[in-house]
Amino acid sequence: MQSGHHPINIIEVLLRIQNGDRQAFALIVKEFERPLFGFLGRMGLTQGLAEDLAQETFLRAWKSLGQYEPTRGAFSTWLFTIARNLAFNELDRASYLNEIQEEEGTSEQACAEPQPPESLALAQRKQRLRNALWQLPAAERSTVALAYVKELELAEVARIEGCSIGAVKTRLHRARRRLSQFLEKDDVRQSG
Amino acid sequence: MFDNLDEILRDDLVTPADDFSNRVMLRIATLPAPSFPTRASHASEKMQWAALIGASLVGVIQLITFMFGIWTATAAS
Repeated sequence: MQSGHHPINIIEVLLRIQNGDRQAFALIVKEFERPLFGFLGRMGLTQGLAEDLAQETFLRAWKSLGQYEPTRGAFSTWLFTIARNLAFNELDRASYLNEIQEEEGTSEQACAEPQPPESLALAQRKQRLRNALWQLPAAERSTVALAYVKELELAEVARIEGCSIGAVKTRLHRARRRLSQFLEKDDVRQSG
Repeated sequence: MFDNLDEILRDDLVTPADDFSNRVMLRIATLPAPSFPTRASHASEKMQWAALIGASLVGVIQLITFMFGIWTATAAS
């Protein structure tokens, strides 16, 4: 978390919204936009689709804000459950692969233009990670994507995934091992 | 195990644009305000449960009375 950053008091924000202060919702958006994008990126979604889904997540959260019950869990758990469901729906769409291919095509064209070596290396590193993540089964990918959200505890990840903490740990271990293998193979392929 | 796996997983593959929250808030402005459960709705929910439980009890008592009636009638004859 950034230095000097204080998490918002969600109950206070909800009370403000309840009293008609719509702009208070911007605090929620600002608080969760970055972790939400991080999660959607690790789910293997491209920038454009992640933006659409993040926006849809906040809109759905707004519409059903009255259904959130603080006594039943953290706001982040509730919000990421919405995001996870949307991401799974998106990934299930048959056309998704085509969109990925189209977007990769455009990014390849962009890569053809001269770029500073550091940004090129960073882009390649991201693409390699995205490819590796795509090799994981959806449940493992989603667990990894959530586990690396700083704002979420392991227990919250388990709750979002609808499984035990033990199952989350097992999935994480398995996913990390698979990712390592994919990335090592990729290293060998690139250096060879 | 791949050495810097944790580090690269912490990398954000996608990041929000600077005006992302503004765009969300513009969309929110077009939506109706969310409806929050009020105390009255909590109370009416409790009343509904009380009514359901009460009516079920009355039904069960009536069923027992009816069966008792049948049993009495058959035992008397």
